[in-house]
Amino acid sequence: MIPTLVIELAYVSLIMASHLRRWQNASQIMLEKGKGRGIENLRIIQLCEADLNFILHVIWGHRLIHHAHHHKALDDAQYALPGLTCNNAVLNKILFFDYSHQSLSPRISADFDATATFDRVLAGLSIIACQRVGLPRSTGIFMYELLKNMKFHLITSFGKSISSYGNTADNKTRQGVLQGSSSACPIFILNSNVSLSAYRKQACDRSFFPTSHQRPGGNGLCCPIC
Amino acid sequence: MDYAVQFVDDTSQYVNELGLSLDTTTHEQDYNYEMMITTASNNAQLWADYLWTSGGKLNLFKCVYYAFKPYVNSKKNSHHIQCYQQKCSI
Repeated sequence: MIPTLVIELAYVSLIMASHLRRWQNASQIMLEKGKGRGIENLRIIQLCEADLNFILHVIWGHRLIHHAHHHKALDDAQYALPGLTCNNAVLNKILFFDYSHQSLSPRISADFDATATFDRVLAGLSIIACQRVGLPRSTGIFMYELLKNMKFHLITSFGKSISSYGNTADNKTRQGVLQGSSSACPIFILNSNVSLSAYRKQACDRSFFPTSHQRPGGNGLCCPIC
Repeated sequence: MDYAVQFVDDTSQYVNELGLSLDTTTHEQDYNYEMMITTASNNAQLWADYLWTSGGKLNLFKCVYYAFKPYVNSKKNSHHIQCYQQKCSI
């Protein structure tokens, strides 16, 4: 009975692009990163309601990512996808170094890391990026309204804070996609997929190619390997 | 092998001489090591711009590049590789 009720509730919420009031509250917990107990070394995780997290997991973490992956809408450079692991990304790097080492050709590898990734994603832009790969419009509005009205409470050893902060206090650009929820990572992947596609078009001709392949054509594809 | 590898927010980008030789704006006999450095720098700046456009920002303290330059020691008839590692400043 209860699972059916939750599913019906989720269905109505997504169709109507509306959310429950209790879903607007999220708790922030600060965890140690293992770099010491300084306040700058803490990782903030935002916890939302369990049924909301279930909805976010089903829609973004499962259906949308699998849908995009099935229709090959995601760039091949992204390795945080179903069926792939972080080891695949490392293996790619090892192959690059091995190939360059065997061919005695100079090479450069640059590693980039982003600051506070999930907290800086532009909410409105990321919803459009999700709609690009098949997210229904009503579901996108549901997520945008949820992020806009979200209120964050801090939980410490003293308990839950009475006051809160949120995105409705000012008219600034809304950033953050609820780090710690099941939808944060898929939203960021779909958001950065746009950047990866643009980067491929702009920079791919000056990047790595095996010698045996032809010059890249103008059809958006670089080479059979890419 | 691909031109870049990304796992969630961690990105690696690759450039080598073979790729430069296939560049539409570069002739095969023209490229050199310095040009490869310039290309990698431009690619890094391009990625930083795209990331900034979508709301993100690079953590420069965790951004590094590795440059490998092989050379032949004719006296010993052996191959060696010079390796440079440096933090990025974009």
